[in-house]
Amino acid sequence: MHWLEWSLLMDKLNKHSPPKWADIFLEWYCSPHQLEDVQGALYEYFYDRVEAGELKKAKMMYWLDVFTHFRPHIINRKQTHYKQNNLGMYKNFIKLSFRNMKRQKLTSTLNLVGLSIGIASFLMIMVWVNQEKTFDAFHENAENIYRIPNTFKSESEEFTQAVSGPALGAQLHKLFPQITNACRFGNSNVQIKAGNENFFESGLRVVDASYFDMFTWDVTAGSLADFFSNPNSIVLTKSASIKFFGTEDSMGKTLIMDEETSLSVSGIIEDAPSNSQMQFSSFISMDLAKIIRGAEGMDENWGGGQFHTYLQLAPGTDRVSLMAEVNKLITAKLTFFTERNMSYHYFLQPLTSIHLESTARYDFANNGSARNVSIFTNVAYIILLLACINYVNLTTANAIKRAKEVGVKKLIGAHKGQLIIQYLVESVITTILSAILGLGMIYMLLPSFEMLIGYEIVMTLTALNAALIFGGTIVLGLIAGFLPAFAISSFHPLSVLKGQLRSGKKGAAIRKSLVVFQFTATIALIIAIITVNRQMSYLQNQDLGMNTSEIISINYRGLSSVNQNKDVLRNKLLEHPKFKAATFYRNAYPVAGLSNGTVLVENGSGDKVSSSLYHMQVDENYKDTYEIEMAAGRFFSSEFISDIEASVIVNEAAVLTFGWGKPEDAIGKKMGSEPRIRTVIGVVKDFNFEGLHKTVEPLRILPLRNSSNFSSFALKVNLDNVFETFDYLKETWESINPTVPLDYTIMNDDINNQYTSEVRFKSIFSIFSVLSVIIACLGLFGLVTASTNQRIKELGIRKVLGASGSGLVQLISREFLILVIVSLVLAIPLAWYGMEQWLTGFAYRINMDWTFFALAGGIAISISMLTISFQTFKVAYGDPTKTLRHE
Amino acid sequence: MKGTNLGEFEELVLLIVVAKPIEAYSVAIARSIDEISNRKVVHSVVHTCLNRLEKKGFVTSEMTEGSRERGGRRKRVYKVSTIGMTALEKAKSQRNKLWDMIALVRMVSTNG
Repeated sequence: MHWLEWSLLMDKLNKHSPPKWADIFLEWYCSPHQLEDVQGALYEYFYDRVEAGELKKAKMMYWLDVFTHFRPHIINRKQTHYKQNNLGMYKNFIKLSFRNMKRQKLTSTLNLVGLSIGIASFLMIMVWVNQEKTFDAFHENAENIYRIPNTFKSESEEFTQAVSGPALGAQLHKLFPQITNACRFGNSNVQIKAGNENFFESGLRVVDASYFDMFTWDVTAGSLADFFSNPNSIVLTKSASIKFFGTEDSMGKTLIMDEETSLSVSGIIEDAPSNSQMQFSSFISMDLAKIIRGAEGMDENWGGGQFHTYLQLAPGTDRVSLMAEVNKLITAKLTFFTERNMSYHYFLQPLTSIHLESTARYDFANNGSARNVSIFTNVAYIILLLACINYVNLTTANAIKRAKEVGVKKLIGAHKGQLIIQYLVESVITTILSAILGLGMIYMLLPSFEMLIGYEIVMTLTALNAALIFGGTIVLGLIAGFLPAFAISSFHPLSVLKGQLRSGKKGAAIRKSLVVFQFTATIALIIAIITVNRQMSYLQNQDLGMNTSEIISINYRGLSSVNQNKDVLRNKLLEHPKFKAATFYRNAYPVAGLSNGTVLVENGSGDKVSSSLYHMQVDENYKDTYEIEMAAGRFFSSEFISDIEASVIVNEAAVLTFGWGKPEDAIGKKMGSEPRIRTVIGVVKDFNFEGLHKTVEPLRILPLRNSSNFSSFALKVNLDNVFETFDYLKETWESINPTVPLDYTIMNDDINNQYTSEVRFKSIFSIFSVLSVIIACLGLFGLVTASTNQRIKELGIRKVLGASGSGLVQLISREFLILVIVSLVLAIPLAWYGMEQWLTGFAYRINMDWTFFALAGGIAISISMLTISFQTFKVAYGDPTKTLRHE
Repeated sequence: MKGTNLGEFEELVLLIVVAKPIEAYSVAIARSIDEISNRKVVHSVVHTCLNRLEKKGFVTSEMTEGSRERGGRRKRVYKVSTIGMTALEKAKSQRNKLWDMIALVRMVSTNG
């Protein structure tokens, strides 16, 4: 019995009691936790006085007592002496969370799976995004290093190029004190002979010695300072060393470069990491290159663009004023160009920004795309959001099951706040478990992911990262759990215990709108996948304006020995019936990228303008080998001896740029300056020599003057019986050029490689979109389950009253199908807008039409129907008696 | 240390709490003060003092379990704490020192 009841009873038994009003006053002002003691003491005095026979005095004294106790420390409601057993409470919460998870296996599993997929996807994408954003950030001096690309302007064009003239790297740091260091970085292709074997080395880089001061690489053998103390040295990466010598330990060994230069290995360094734009396999010094190429005067050459030039600035330098002075200086030195109305404007590009933001020409091959990075960042957040929404939906849908628990707890005195904390603890624990699962998934799937992306992901588990992940998980749990915790703890105990509780219209409405949100996002992603796929196929099947399917390309780097025997080689090869045509050329392989040069052109208005355009140097067989069509005029021919000195061919894009009107009108126009003026003898139809990433640019085709200048050749081959063909090729080559390695590729392979980044994008995007579809379906499944469970009695009754199984299925599915259709309607304009933006980034693109949306809608509806039907069938065709017994 | 000084009344009440280990509750303590010091003390003063002592940490209190004598209301029973005991002993030793000094002075003055 409560002490109140007992004391009331006792008071009744005592014949006299203290004055009622005094008591009321006391009970009002006294703080509840002291009332019992204080009132008890006063009553003791009262009864003592009554026993002593002084009833009136007792009553008067009681009044007095009540007033004298009207003091702050009695009125004060602060309970200073309460000891709260909080720790025990939280331990209980954790125990309860696990018990609840076991009790509601289905919901918990769905939640765990969904959240772990979401977390794993999020983390993987963000790790990749982080890597993309921090390319080359590991160098010690990274903050102060800048590249200096320039914007080149001539009368006919303007473009930005990543490379610069040699003088900049050699002289700028001597002329400006703010520039503390500088170096140049160039590519080279050479032949290497090590021991008795011949190799082609395309990863050779030519650098100043200062390169190793500015950039931080891991040296495994040799010392930085001595790399180039002997100019005839070469530095190898570990893999290069193994390739040439079969071992990492090759210090001091010799190899021969391009059949004439002897080099000794002066250092071994680690392979280029995947998060650097500079990829390399060997280094030689700039000084050596100058000697070999007879370019001693190179350091005075301020124009042109052969090397990437890097500058290291003193911290705090005013970059704007520095570059203003640099540009002034360079313009003054470049009078040759300025006279011809050509200008170079140099600017600073921070080292760490190059990978994602550089759009210059002649840049590194592995540059990333800022656009892709932001796309995937958004996808990561979307997936996580979808998983959270799942959690919210599933938990609130199942809230009714917990109603009794909440009711009882509230009755025995739990505060709403305590209940909220309990349910938040549950969601945090679920999130933590999912995070652990997710991390496990990442660990297992990382190799496959790396393969998909094409390069390694460097995942360092620093303390900071671990703390971030842990903190983020908890925050996620709190956010995701907030709504459900609030909803569950709001149950009114009385109505719950009486069994009057229904899901409530408001709650259902919120859940349904969340589902619509999920499905809208998912359907938009499905439309995106379809668009991406179609665009990629379009690109890969696009007609390039030339025959690429039968070409084998062989690059012999222009070695003179090969050139001497080229006609013999050609004739021998063409003897074979499968070999249909062969052409020799220089810098004319349409996949490898062409050189450019400037030339004076008489344009349509009769002015002489100097233009920079791509050029290639070919023999007369080029057109037939690559099956390029002429738009006007003729191709080079050995019948016209003057061709070699006096003829030039252009493409349609060039005709347009120079304002010559129709292709036919271009014939006879002149290009070049004295003493070398050439006349246009033909116009080829545009063909994509730069791949489909750009529209076709103006092109100048020249015949090769000196036959010793050819550097590669292409064969048109019937590729039906591939192995036999290659064997013949190898035999013939080796018999004629025994010391030169045969470096051949199939053109179609090279072309496909150009699209690797797109293909990768397609795969990754598809995977993550499919994952979000899975998550959305999990959510839908959970919701349907919850709904059918709620209505189990209703469905049982309907069945008993004669409803057919299919009728019931329709009943349940209908309400969910409406949601899916609403999502579809919302998703279409959203997806259309987003995809349009993406497609505008392509030079050649498809247009979206209604089939895309219809297909996406169809997929969405079928998937939802499938998910829904799993549950509905079970209920609809189940035994109604069983369901009706469900109390 | 702030708040560790025992006022005269507080010391009195605290001593009684120590001396009456059973049933040291507000009314009983008030009665004991009456007996020992012959002064009429108002219950609320004692109650306030006990409250203060508890805030200072010199006593701990508990509601008696199960006792139903005074109209069914339980009492709050007080016990001295370790710091409470220490404070009492400190006060006692201070007084003893002073009395010793007085005794010395008296000896000197009567003999001189």
